[in-house]
Amino acid sequence: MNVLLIIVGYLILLLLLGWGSSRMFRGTSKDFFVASHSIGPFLLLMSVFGTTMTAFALVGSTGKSFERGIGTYGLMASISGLVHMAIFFLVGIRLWALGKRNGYLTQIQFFRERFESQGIGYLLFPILVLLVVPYLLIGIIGAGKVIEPVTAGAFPELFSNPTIPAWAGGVPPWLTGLVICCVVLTYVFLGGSRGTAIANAFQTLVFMGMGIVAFYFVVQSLGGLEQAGKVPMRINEQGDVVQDFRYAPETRQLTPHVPPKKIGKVADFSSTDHTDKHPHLSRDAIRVEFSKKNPKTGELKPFEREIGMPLITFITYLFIPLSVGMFPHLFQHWLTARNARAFKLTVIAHPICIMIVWVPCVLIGSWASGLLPPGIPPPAVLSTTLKLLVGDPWLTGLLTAGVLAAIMSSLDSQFLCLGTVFTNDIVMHKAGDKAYTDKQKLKIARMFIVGIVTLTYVLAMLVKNANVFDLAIWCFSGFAALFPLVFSALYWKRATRAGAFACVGSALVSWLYFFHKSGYGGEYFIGPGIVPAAVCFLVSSFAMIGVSLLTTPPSSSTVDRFFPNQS
Amino acid sequence: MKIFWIVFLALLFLHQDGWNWGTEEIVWGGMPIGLFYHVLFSLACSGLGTWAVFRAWPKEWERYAEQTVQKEQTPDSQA
Repeated sequence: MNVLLIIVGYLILLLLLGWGSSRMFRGTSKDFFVASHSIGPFLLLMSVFGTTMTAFALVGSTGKSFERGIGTYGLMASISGLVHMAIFFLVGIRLWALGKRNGYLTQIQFFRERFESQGIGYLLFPILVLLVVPYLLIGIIGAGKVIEPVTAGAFPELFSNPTIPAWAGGVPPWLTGLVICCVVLTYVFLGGSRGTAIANAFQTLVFMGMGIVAFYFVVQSLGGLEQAGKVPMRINEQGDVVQDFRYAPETRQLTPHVPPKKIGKVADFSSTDHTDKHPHLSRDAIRVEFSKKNPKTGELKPFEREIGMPLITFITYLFIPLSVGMFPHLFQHWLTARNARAFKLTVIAHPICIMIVWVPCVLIGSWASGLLPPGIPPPAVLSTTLKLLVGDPWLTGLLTAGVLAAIMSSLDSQFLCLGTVFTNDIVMHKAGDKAYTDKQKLKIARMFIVGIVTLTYVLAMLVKNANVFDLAIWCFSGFAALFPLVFSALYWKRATRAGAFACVGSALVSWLYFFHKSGYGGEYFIGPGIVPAAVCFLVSSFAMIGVSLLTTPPSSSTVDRFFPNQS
Repeated sequence: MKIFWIVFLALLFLHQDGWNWGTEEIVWGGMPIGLFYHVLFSLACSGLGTWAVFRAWPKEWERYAEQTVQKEQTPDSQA
C-alpha cells in the first residue's frame, strides 16, 4: 500500500506542477504549441531527452536485456548517442532556424512549403498519427506492466483477476493506463508546450536520479558489482541453462542453488564453446529452449528464445535511431528553443544522458536473467526485479515513480504534438488562419487530443501483452523510413515534390509490408537478421533520389528560401 | 564540417565491434567488456558533439534566424 501512496503522491505533485506552469501560460495558441520560442538550453536538453526516453528506455531496455543480454546497449543506446547527436546538430538547428524565420509550428508546414505541395501534408498527417500511436501504446502498456507487480497484494478482493497469479490484488493495467492518461492530459491542457517542457524537465531529473538510486540498491542486494556479474543464467557442460543463485527476500541475501536450477536447454548443443558461459554477458547468438507456465491452466508450454544477436542485426540497427529526425513531437520541441545556442547543451550531453539511463537498465536486465523465471513478460522485468531485490516499499514506490516519470515525459509531448498537427495542418490549413480565434484553436487541439488518447487507450487494452521494445522498434522503423524526406529537404536542392511523394509512399508501403509479415508488432528480421528499418530506409531513399532526378526541379524562389546560405 | 563527417563515419565503423562479440571478460570490477566498450563509445560521441559545438557551429543559420527576430521586434519596439 505504501508503494501506491508514493505513486499517487507523485501524480498529485505533477498535477500541482501543471497548475503552477499554467500561471505562466500566455493564453495564445503560439504559446500553447511552441512556448513562444522561449525555452533555454537546460529545459531544451531535459525536454528533448525526456521525450526520446520513454517506457522503451527503462522498461523496454531492461526487458530486452533480460532476453538478449548486454548487446542491447550497443544495439540501441550507444548508436542512438551518435546518431541523435548528429541529427540534432545537422537537422535540428536548420529546422529550428527555418521554423523561426517562416513561423512554422509543425513539420508538415515546413514540408508543404519546401516541396511546394499542399497534398504532401494530407499524405503525411495520417502517417504521422499512425506511427505516433504505437509510441503512445508503449507508454500506456509499459505503465500498466510496471504498476501491477509492485502493488500486488494491495487490493486482493477488489482486483482478483491479475495478469499472472503472483500479481493478484495489484492495480490492473486498465486502471493504471486510465489514471496516467488523465494526469498527463490535465497538465498538458493546463500548461501547453511550456508546461510540458517544465514537467518533462522535472520528470527527466526524477527518472535519471531514481535510475541511479535503483541501480545502487540492486547492486548492494546482489553483494556488489563483481558478485552481480556472476548472477546471469549460465550454460553448463551438458548444454543445460541454469540459474546458480536465488535471492531470498527473508534474509535479503543471494544464496546458491545447490545443485544449480535448470531452467532451459541450448537448442542443438554440439559445441563446447558455450560451456560455462553466461550468454547474457556476451553477444554470441544462441538459441535456448525454455518453458513457461500458462497462468490460467498451470500447463507448461515450451518456447524458444535467441540470446545474444547476429552481427548483421547489430549493424542494421543503426538505421533505427534516424527516426528522431522525423518525430513530430521532437520537431515541436526544437521549435520551442529560444535561440540556436540553446541546442549546444543538447548536442553535447544527449549521449551521456542516454548512457546514464541505459547502462543500469541493461545490467539489471542481464542480472535478472539469473533470478527470474524466463517466461516472465519482458516489460515486467524491471518492476519485478526492484520488488524482489529492493524490497522496501517506500523505496520501491519512489523507483516506480521514476519509471512512470520516464513514461509520462514522452506521452505529454506526443499528446501535445498530435493536437498541434491536427489543428494547424488540417483544420486551420483548410479554414484559414483567421477562421478561428486563439481560444477556439486551443479547444480544437484539446478535443482532438482527447479523441486520439481514447482510441489509444482502447488499443492498449487490446494489445496489453505486446512487447514494449518490439512495438517501439516498429514505430521507430516507420519514422526512420521517412528520414530521407527531411534530410533531402534540408540538404539537397534538387529534391522535388514528386520525389517527396515517392519517398513517403514507398516508406509507407515497405513499412506496412514488413509490419504485416511480423504479425503486427512482433520481432521480425529479414534473411540472416536484417532489421526492416534498413530496407525501408533504402527503398525510400532510392525513391526520393530516382523520382527527383526524373522530375522538374523546385522553383528558384523555393531553393533560395530554403538554402539561404548557399545562394 | 569535413572533420565532423570523417569522425562521424569513423565512429559508425568503430561501433560495429565484432572483436568483442564472443567474449564475456569482466573489466572495471564487474562490467562486461562488450558493454564497457560501448560506454566509452558514448563518451566519444559526446566528445564529437563538444567539438562540433565549439569548432563547427553553424553560425550562418544562427544569424539567419536572428535577422528574423530583429525584423519581428522592430514594429513592437516602435509601437
